[in-house]
Amino acid sequence: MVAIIDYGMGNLHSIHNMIKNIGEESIISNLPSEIELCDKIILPGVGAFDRAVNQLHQLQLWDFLNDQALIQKKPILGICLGMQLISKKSEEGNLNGFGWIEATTKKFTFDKNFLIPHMGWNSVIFNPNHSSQFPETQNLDTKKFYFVHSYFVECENKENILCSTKYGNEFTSGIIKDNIYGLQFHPEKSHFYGKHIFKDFINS
Amino acid sequence: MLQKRVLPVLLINNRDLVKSINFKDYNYLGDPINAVKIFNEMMSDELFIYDITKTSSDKPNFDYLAEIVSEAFMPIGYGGGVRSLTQMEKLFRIGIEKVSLNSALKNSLSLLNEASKDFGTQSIVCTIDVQFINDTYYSVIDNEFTELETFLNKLNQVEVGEIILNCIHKDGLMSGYDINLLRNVLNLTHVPITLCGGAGSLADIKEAALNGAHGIAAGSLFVYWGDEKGILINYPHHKINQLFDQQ
Repeated sequence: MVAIIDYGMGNLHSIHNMIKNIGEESIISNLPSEIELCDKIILPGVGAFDRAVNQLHQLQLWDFLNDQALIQKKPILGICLGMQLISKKSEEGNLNGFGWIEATTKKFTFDKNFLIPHMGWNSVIFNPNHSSQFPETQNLDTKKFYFVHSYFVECENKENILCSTKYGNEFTSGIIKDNIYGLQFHPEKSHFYGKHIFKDFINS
Repeated sequence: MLQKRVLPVLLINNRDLVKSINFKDYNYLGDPINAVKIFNEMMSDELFIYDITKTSSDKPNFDYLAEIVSEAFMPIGYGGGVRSLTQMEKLFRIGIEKVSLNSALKNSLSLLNEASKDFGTQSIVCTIDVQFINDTYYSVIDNEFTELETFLNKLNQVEVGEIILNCIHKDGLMSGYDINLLRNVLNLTHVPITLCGGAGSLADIKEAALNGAHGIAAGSLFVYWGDEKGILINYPHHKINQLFDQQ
């Protein structure tokens, strides 16, 4: 059973439905008592960094998620803003992120040839050092996903880079450390490709 | 590299999927939810839904949209009866990625600014219904005509993430896009442009992309098949990808 964390930052039904579509079960919840019973956690999120941090604190989910990720070592997948929350801090806000991975969230800066936000379908290239991660996805001939974001995560250690994407320059579109995963794109809005991501995460 | 977006546009009237010619002569096609499911399987880049139902309340049908969105595993844009930030928030909450404004901009474009501030520019779309009369392009809102250049100059003063140019004079004809319009508009604004109206073939889509459209939208092309225009939901994902591979 997968827990999709509901902390009031964006719609979660498409994640729930895509997981159902691949024949797995999930719950949408903000109750530690319910989430505790699940063996996988998805931390989604669309919106502003500080608001997300505040919401998680208010719902008593902050310390709980720290425990789930770091002590219980439960597989946890941050999506979009959920990935950025895994970093230590963000240029978008003043509050601290979880800091589960040594990384900082930065704002894109481009000349006018590259619009911000980076929005649309783009390709993802996996780090060869993590060739065993997300195996079904990595086996696909084409790996493209739907992105919408103005901020990106920059890792301090290259080993935490799961995958990269080119937009202007190359940026990190996925991060990994032990049981912790973050993806900048939206698998739930990436039909065929996204289903492979959820299958892989659920089998991880 | 970011890929060009090729998106089917679906018109909904009273929970029916319909398709128009020149914004008139609506033809019944089938069930919208069924269409969305087929577009999932066909790996459509994105869908844009316009609800053209005329009701006394004239506001989005949130419950029905939620039903549609829960079946969609791709980004969904929506337009139709949106007039307030509260309505927009509801639409984003049910999983709509982009909300389009049109009628609400009749007297003022300020709602675009407020919406961009609250929800992020990337989620706010201005759909311009374009009419071409006597060599002049007009933006048409509720039968009120404004010269397109004048409208775009005003639009450049506010925050908006995308413009959908919906060509009334090309709608449903399947005779090709108005590329001249696209070129004109690209010279007048830096906002990403999605062109809609007139696509009759994948070659038309390629032409619009080569001429600078960020998004290329089509209705008839993805719901009709063959010279007789039989109703058949289609989205040739591989052929569409190939269009851009050759670029």
